[in-house]
Amino acid sequence: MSTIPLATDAAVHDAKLDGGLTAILSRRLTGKHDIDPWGLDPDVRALLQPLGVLRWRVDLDGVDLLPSGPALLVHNQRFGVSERFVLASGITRTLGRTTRPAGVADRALVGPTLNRIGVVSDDEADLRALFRRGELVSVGLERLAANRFTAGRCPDRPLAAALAIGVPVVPVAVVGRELARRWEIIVGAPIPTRQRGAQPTPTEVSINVRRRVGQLLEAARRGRSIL
Amino acid sequence: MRVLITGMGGELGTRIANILERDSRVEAVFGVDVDPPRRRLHRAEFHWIDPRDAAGIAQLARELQPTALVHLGVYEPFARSSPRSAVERTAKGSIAVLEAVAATGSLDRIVVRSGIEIYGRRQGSPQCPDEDVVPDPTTPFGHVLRYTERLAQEFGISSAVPTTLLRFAPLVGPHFPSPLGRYLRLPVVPFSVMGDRPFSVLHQEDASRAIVAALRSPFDGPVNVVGEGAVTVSQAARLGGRIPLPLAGPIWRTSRFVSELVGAPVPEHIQELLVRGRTADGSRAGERLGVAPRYTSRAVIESLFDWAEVTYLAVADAEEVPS
Repeated sequence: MSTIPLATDAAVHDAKLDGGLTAILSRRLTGKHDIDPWGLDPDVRALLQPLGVLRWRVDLDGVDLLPSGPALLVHNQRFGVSERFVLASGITRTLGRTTRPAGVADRALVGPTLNRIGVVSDDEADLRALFRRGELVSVGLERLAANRFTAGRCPDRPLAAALAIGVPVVPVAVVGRELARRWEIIVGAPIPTRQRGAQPTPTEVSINVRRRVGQLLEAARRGRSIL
Repeated sequence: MRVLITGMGGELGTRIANILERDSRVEAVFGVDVDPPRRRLHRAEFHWIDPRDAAGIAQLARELQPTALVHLGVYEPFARSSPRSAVERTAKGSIAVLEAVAATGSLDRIVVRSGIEIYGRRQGSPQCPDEDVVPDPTTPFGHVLRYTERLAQEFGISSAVPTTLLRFAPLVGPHFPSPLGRYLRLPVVPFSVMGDRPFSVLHQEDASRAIVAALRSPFDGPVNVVGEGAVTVSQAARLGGRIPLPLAGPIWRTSRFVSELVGAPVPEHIQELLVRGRTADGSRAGERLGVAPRYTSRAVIESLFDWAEVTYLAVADAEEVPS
């Protein structure tokens, strides 16, 4: 009887990305590649990461403020197309950590395809499970296409998941233009959601994070010459 | 502790009896089922009673006075029974055994085998539900699981005993009768070209460890028990050296028909898994039961294709057995 390898504590999507194209192809053919319960495929991510590097040049500021454990990153978005991917790409390049953008619709073909690169639904239960695994999840504020330096309203479900598990909420400003190559990301100080004494309410955290993202955007606007 | 095991004729029931009978701290182990146990038992007593025979089970419970019930008599369609008889045996058997043990007044814990099929996979539902998600089954097997859980919880509340509801990921293994296992072992394995979503599975030894742990320190409520990670259907086919066949839309109906013809019928909950995937968050099993699955989902699928010889596994150490 052959022995069966035992599970380790390592997260599935942290599987080795090295080995080159031959190793990746071999894993695909034999089925020995990794996939996580949300459909993230590290090989697909590894193959697409260089495209992100070619497409976007990201200046990341305040990355040392990111918690080492799970966190909800709340960022502004103008048209809501590139921001989530720019943020994920910037954090992976800088820290080597995977960021899971939340908000994909549960539709055939589109949903599972985006799941492969780490995008997840914004369902509260899914996000709770991701936080328990120590993941970084990003979510965009309400889209405000008219002004790229304005922060919209914070969505409820991701915030509720963060409050349920007690993970910090991190305000992030993502500034750039859809067709431009250069983007700037400014990470703000985390807002704790589990404190001694009175717990913050979802409304308080929502208002606070929106205000903080607005402040970061204002700081970016003042220094817009760098873009 | 005097343990009554329903579904003792299954792989899981026999294994649990096998573990418990070797523990001197367990006073007696009794079991009922429609099929005989799958391996030799030394101290455990098997009673060949149909789970639908309420009078027979009631009489047995009166005689045995069990203090713990391990309810594994939850029959998966096309595993050991046809879909109709699986529903009937599970529903009638659950009522019969719960009423019988509740009437004795000796019971102090209930452990029920359930499944993550209970959450359903409706569009927009969470991909990886935790125990806080309200069950919303979308298949007949999922509805049967919810019915069984509700029944057990009601009896648990009325008898004031903790009821552990173990929601297992689909159990597959080289010698485990399962419609998913048979399907994945077909030479050509159809998968959904519209998604090929991930699913998680559980090794039978991990399921056994969870049941024994729940007996040792009962937890009142549901616990997801799921192998780490996930696999997709096309990946499982490649792991087994099978040919993955992409399918979409109405061709699935033909595929199911052909699968049934060649000996791998696909019940509703397996069809749902093939198209929509099925996983759950099992991260709380460690804190609630004190044990977590040791086999990854991929390792379980690999073991399915091992074609290993039947090996009588060593019985667990005494510290793994409830006191």
